[in-house]
Order: sequence, then structure tokens, then C-alpha cells
Amino acid sequence: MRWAAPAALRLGEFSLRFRPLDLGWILLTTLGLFAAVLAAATIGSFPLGWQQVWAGLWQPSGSGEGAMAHQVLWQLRMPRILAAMLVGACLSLAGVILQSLTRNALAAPGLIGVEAGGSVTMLMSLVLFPGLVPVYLLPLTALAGGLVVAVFILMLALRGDFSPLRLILVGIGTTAMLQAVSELLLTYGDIDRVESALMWLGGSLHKVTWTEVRVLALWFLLAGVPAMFAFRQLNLLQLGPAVASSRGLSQRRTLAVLLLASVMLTSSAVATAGTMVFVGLIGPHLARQCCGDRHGILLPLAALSGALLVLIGDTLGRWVFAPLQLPAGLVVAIVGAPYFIFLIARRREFAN
Amino acid sequence: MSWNKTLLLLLVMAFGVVAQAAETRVFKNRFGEVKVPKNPRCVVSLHDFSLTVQLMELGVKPCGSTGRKKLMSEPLFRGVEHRFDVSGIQYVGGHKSPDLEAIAALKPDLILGLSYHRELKPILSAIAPVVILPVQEEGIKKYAGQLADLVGRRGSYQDQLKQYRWMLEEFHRLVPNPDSITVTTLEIYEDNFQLIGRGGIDEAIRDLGLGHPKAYKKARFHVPYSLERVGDFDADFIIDTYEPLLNTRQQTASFRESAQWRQLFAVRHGQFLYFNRSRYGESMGGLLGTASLLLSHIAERDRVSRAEEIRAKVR
Repeated sequence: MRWAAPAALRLGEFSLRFRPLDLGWILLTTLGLFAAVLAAATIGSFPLGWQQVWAGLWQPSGSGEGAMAHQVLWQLRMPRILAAMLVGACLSLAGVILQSLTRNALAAPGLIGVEAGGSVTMLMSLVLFPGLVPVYLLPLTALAGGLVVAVFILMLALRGDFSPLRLILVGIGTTAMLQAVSELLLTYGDIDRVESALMWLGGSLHKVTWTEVRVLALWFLLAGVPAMFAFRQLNLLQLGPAVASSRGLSQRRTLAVLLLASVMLTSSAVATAGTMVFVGLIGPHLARQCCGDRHGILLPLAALSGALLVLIGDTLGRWVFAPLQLPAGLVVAIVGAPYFIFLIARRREFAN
Repeated sequence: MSWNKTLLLLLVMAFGVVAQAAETRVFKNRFGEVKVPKNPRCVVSLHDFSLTVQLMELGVKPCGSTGRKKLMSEPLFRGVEHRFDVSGIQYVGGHKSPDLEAIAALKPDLILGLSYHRELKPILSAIAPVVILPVQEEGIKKYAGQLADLVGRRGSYQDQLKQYRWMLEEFHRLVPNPDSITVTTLEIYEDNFQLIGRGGIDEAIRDLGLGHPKAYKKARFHVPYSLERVGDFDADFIIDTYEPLLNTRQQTASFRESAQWRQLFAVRHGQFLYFNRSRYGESMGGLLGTASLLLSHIAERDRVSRAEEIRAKVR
């Protein structure tokens, strides 16, 4: 395929070169996401037609017969749809950042221990000390766990010269240790509490309210939006430390800032929806199929892909076997894994 | 009576029924205050094995209930199916993650849940008033009383309570010193066991004043113990339960054949009681059924005491 001549977009000191086809992918994914949102808004155990959804979107409140439909749309479906998109975008962005920092296509938030750190502290809250942390503060426990693990890994990885391989190995070791702690909690925890924890671990959005959506949106604004403007640094890091340094990039500082952003994105997603290990891996790779490693386009496209993935997973999970509810993380893994394997098998650069 | 008067009377009656259903009052318990309808029309229960059973025992059929369901199979309302007609009860998903939209589709005017449903309360409150009942915190008698108040069936509850109290009195008449009899309630699995007494067993044992072995008093409940430790919890009576739907009786048969098991005092003296786990739910009916079983198996038959055997050995 021949690429059309790149165009440039300037925003203050930032300039982004993109190809017309890139815009096409962004537009296509956005349209896909829009279609998924519309489908998710109309699909569910509560019968809501297109017209009701459309009318409900513009009404401040429902009344009479339409009151329940209005509540379902605004209190059940919309927070869930938005949370699914934000969780997917956060995890996918975190995945791109980690894959670029480590120059490893297999790196994902689940691999370097951040997700496991958040999981362990959440499990401790749910299984060992239920009721100790108020419900509205539970998300912060995942954030704390993720941050502690990230700082620990970063300190070990940054000793001497930074080595992507060391970061991954330290992460794998830490993840294994934390997973053992999780298993211990699940095996020897109170059976009722473990049941609740397992639902959360599967990556479920069934408890999401507007509060979680607001918190998630805030973290996305704090970490996700700035990360999208770090495409130039990520492009340089992708070329290796020597090239990055020769272009004046402070590798340690960039690494620390971007890793922190990745942790913030992962922790906020884990706190809201539990573990969805696969999204941080598959989201970036889906985007790469379209635009390669050019981070200016890769970052927003990965965010859109992740959002689309989790939204589809959650919608299928709450609808296919309704009223039985399947966690979104489970559905994403079941549906996404075969497609992911198919895509990777087709890519030539993984041949060797 | 003219047609006009009849029509007017019917309208007044219909208005009265609607007004009665719409009337509200404030219900208060340890989980807070909730404005609830005086005569709820459609109640959704978020737990089949406790709330749904108790509602049915009080003569109130919930319009929706959580239950247990495997893929490609019909939902099961535990502790309810074999005792009551469940037609008309809409399955609304599992008790840990109910389908909130399926609940909304029923347009309920009251939703009942357990303490772990508090996380869902903010969302469910958009559908109907949500009352959390203290099943795990205060026991069956207390929550069942609150439930009866909520659905306006205090009389039926009082009858159940009266019958239960009679059974306790009868037990105490036959066994003046119940604390001298030790009991362990457990559930044996293939590779571990847990100290659990479902369906009101533990509450009935407490109410009867029965004793427990020392290790049991210090033990943690609802956590897995190695099968090697079962001897620590040997007692005058050991009570296990099996779940026919999960085939647990067959799955654990080999352990009950083991020498370790057969050496237990309760097993050697035929004082091991093996009950159906789903026979009774966490309800007043469960308490009554369990009290009845314990009355028959412990109070109304000859029994031997482990403490006496130990004393005899020492002598």
C-alpha cells in the first residue's frame, strides 16, 4: 500500500505529522465506538428502543411511565458505557506506554506488576478487612497498591543504567509474588467474601455509578491526556537510548514520568473494574495494525481501540446470557484472544 | 344499586387500593432509614437462600429473586424450589452480581438485600427503595422479624417464633444441661473442610445452648482447614451437610471411609448427623426444621458423652 504524503497539525509547540490514512483509521474507530455506544444504550434486559434512548438522552428527567426507562438509561446504562470506555482507554494507553518504554511487544500493565499490586490491596480490603475501608474509598486502595509496586519496580529497574529487560524481569518476578499472595487470599479467605472478590477479579462493571465515572475521568485527564502529548518522547525512546540521548531527551526523567502515568491509568482502571489483563496487551496491538509505531496516531488510536474492546465486552457480558451477568474482562479475553492470535500470526515482524 | 353507584363504588375501592400501595412509611434498622411502601406490590429479593425463602414462608411471593444458574440450565432458587411454587418469580441473576436492568424491568416497589449488597444500593435506589437486612449480622430471628414488618406479615412471623420457642423449651425440658453436650458443625469437601452450619443450624445450636469442643471455640469460621485437622474438632455430635445438586455426598465418600474419620468419637457412636444442605434456607422455617432435627437426634434418643469416655479412660 502506498502512503499518501503526510500532513502536519500544529498546536502551540506541538506538531503532529500524520497521513490521511491515519485520519481514516481514527474516524473509522470513532464511528465504530459511536455505533457500539448506541448499541449498548439500546441493548439490555430492560426493553429500550432507539426512539426512547434518543428522547431520553435529551430529557432532564423522566416522568410517569417513562420514569423507569429514564432511570435505566441514565443511572444504569450510561455510567456503565462511559466507565467501560474509560477503563478500556486507560488500560490500552498504559499498555502502549509500557510497550514503548520497554521496547517489548509483550509488555502490559499486567506484566510489570502494577495490576497485580492494585489487585492485592483490593483483595485485602475485600477478603481480609471487609468494612474497614468505606465503600467510596475502596478505589484508592487499588491506587495505593499499584503505586507502591510501581515505585518498587522503578527503583529496582533504575539502579545503574536503565534496562528495559530488567524492568520486565523485575516486573514478572513481582507479579508472580503478588499473584501468589492473591491466590493465598482467595484460597484461605472467607468463602462469601471470596465470591465477591472473584466477581471483581473477573473485570466487572456492574457496580459502576456516576461517582466512579467521574473519578475515572479525572484520572484519565490527569494521566491519559498528558500521555497522549508525549508521542515525540515515545517515538525517540523507541529508537533506543543512544538516539534518544543524542536528541536531548532525559531518559530517566521521561521514563519516570511516563511510567507514573501508566501506573495512574492502570490503577484507576483496576480500582473501577477489577483486572482486565488482556486489554492492555490487545488494545495497543490492534492499533498498531493500523498505524504502526508512530505514537502520535498510535496513542489516540489505542485509546479508542481499548474503549471499543471493553465496551463490546461489557455489553455482550450483560446481554448474551442475561440475566446471568458475565464480567467484561472475561468476555474480552474469550472473544479477543482468538482474534489477537490471528492478527499476530499474520504479522511478519514476529516471524523471527 | 344503580350502575352509576356501582361504578362509583368500584372507583373508590380501586383508588383505595392504589392509595394504600402508594402510602409510605420510614423503615429503620442498623443499615439506615429507608422510605418504603406500606403494602409493597412487587418485592425483589437479592438472596434466594435467605430472603426469598423467608418471604415465601410469610406468604409473600416475590416478583423477582436472584438464584443459582449454570449456563444452559434453568435457574434454581435454593431452599425454595422443593417447598413452594416458584412460578411467577422472575430470575434476576446471581446474588453477587444481579442483573440490575432485569430488576428494573419488573418495576418493583421494594428491593431487599444483604449487607454485601450495600455497594449496589446507590444504583438500585434509582429503581426502588432498597432495604438491607442484617441476616449475617443479627441472625435469622431478628432479620425475619424486620422482614415481616416490611411486608406486613407480623402475625405469621409471630406464629413461627412461637413454634420455635416451644421447641427450645421442649429441648431444655429433655436436656437440662445442654452445654455439656458438644457439637461441631462442618462441611467436608474433597481436600479440606470448613466450619459452617447453614440453614439456621448454628443459630439453632446457639439458641439450644449446646456446647462446642475447645478447638471449635477458638477456630475461624468459613475458612478451609486441612482434613488432617478434623480430629481437633471431634465432639459428642458432628453435623455435616451435603448438597445433592453438587453431588458432594459421593465426592467426599472416600474420606468418610478413612480410618481418620472412623476413629472420631461421634462417628464411632453413631452420633454423626448428615443433613441435606438445601433442605432449609436461612429462614424461620430453617430454624424450625433444624430445631426439630436436633430435638429428635440429640434430645429424644439415647446418646453417649465424649467427656465421660475420656474420664473413664483416665480412671
